[in-house]
Amino acid sequence: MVGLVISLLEPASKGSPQSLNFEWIPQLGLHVTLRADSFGLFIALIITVIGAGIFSYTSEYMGDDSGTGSIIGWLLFFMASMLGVVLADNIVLLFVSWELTSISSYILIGSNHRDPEARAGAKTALLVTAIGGLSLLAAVVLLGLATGVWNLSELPPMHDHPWVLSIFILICLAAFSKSAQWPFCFWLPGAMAAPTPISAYLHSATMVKAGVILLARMHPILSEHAAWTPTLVLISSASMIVVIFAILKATDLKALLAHSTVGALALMVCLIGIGTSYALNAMTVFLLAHACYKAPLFLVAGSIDHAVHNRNINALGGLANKMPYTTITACLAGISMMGLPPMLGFAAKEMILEAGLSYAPWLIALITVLVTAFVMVACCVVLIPAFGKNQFLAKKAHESPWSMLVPMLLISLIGLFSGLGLSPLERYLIAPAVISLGVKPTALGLWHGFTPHLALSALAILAGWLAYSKRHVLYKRIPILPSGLLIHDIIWNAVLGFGRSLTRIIQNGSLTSYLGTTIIVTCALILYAWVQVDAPTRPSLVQKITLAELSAGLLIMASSLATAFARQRLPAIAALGSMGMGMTLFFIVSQAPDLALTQFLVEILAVVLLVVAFRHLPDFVGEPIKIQTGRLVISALTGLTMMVLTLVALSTDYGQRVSLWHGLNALKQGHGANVVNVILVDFRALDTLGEITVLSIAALGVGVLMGSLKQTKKEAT
Amino acid sequence: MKSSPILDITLRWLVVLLGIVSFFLLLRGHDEPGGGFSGGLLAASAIIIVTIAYGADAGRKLLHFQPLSYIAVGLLLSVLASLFQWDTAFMGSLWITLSLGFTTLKIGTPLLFDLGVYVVVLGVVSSFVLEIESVVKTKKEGR
Repeated sequence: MVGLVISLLEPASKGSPQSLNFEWIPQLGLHVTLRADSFGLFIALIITVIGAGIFSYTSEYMGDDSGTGSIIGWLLFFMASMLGVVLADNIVLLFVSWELTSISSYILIGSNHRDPEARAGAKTALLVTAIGGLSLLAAVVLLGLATGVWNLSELPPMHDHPWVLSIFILICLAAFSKSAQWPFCFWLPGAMAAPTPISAYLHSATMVKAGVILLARMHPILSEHAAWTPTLVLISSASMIVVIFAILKATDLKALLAHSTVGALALMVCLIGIGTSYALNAMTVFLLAHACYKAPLFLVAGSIDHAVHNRNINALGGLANKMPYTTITACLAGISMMGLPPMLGFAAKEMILEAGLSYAPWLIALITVLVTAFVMVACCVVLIPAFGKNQFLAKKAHESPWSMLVPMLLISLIGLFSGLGLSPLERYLIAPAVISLGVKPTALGLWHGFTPHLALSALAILAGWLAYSKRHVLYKRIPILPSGLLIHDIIWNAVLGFGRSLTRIIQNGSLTSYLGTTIIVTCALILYAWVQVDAPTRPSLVQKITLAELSAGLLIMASSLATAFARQRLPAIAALGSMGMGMTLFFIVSQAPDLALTQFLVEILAVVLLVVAFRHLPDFVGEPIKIQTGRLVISALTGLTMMVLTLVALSTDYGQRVSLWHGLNALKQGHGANVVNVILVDFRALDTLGEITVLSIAALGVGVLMGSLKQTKKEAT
Repeated sequence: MKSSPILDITLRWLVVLLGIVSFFLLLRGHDEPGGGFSGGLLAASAIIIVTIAYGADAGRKLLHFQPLSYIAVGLLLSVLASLFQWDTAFMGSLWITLSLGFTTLKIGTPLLFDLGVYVVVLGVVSSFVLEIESVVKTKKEGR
């Protein structure tokens, strides 16, 4: 993979990036368009190189854990989707890859799914990044509709389009939620429940940079808009301030690193917001430097966790002798993070300070200095485990195996060598990448002479050291700043509460209200259909009634009244049965012997079953007959609706087509003289199959209900 | 339940009679009133009578297999019957006319389908009554 990416670098740096295009869903005009421009390849190189190290580290770190295989699988899945994010040219493909990274991140954070904290962290991360994903989808659709172009490389600058503000807001939402900027910065520390190599890879080196990458890609398109600089700079400053407080509060090694990652991402967003070519250069260098020091630091944390099963900085110390190579890695990465020469981090920090200084408001420069100072604090804290005084845990410590050490040493050495060998790095990676972002490259250098930003840098280091030595005092003084977590919790609880109360209303457990609701809705739908859809049909109230029909009707009416007013169960059941007999009579009168036979049998069996079920229940003798108005209204409504339905059906002329066809074809095609039966088993056999399936399910339901009844009876006795 | 000789003898004949008539209803259903559904109901009523008279265990014994097995077999038969004419249409029918000298016999896949309906209905209704009866019984014993 790394080789493939490097082989693509050459044509890309000459300004003719390789691209790949094949049709995905041509009916929707969706194409998979990949375009290997220099900036994308630059990130892809970071993804693949660090990824290779992570794979080696993970298999050792997880050991014989049964989930290792699936974690490696999901890591590969993530790597592919992340490469999709950076190399996609089609913006729909960009969105799809973006969502895939969110999903793989969710699964990887929750990979230790027995831990409720891991589950909660995964859920929060997914919810927050999903908000961003949806905004990205909206932004992508708006962009495509506004310009008619669906390829990133062909999108024109669109600062005067009427939709530009909404597109900008949506893009910002997507980028800020993915890159954990304020107010979404709370999910990244929560995501630290993931196994450490995953935090190193997804939540410091690659995935969280997706937001920064998106903003960098959108810079040529949207940066002319008036809101671009203020929004990005303000939001990133807010994130930085939150981070400063959080760093001082953190005691968990990984949480500390996570907060400093948020700070680093905020710096990148700020640089894109400033938007000068120098700032973008600084951003690109810093992106590389950050990946090269933060990933090893996470791996160091994982290594320590692996050795002593503790990540609390107050409990760790004195590991330098026991874990020499881990300590070397921590020092190399730490120096780069502090921004001391000769590491790449130094060059990056100098550029950031210069870019910050060149931007007018001094407040921003001040915040930048503060952040560098506090990153320094974080860094000193990170080194506590190696050199701290608390040696209690160090006795049991052991050095990690080579398959874990080599990747982290190598990655941190990249930071050192690229700091020393800036000019080839500039020529082959940084300059082409910056050019493909549409700005002029700047010369990189470790030493710029005695400039104001060098003084600032020294000031930052001094301030950082001071804050570090006083951090126990500061720890007690500073408040915890409110973050979006509060809002997240409020919304989350509100949604759950709404769901609960809705369930309480709808699923209230009262059979009466279920039945009432069902009946009323059915009647309302039928009446609506009659009034609205079937408007011209008016039922003709005058129908021909024979004497037999009249007597059957009277029988039904009398027995239904008897059922309703019966004082004992048995007579009620008998009256119900005689009502069914009235129905049977109707069928006989209408010359439907098949229906009559079946109805007759069903009615008898129903009566028998009811008697079997009810014969041991107490009678309701003595209870006065109460007429409940609500139920009376419902039953009257039902009766009226059915009457209307029947009358409308009777007065509608369907012609004789259906019954005529069946009558003619029953013997010819169905080989049967009984039309009803031929319809049941041949012409409409699928319906019958469905009916007997429903019957079977009903039997299963009765079995389950009765079984549970038996169970409770047994427990009671 | 007290046994009564009249009930015993009547039931012995009645059960056989109900079984035969129900099968007759099933077979003649294609040309005259009857069919799998009413046949199955009639067959189930035999089970119901025995259950009421002698209790759920006797009903189960008469049924021999679990009601659920009847349901499953019946569904299987109906689906099987639907597959004979798979190449032309799902649930297409196939008829064979056998000449037996004194009469002709018409056999077709719809008959098999109807047999499936018969067995399902028999199983469903018997399971209703058997389940209810055994619950009522446990409840009585519980008192």
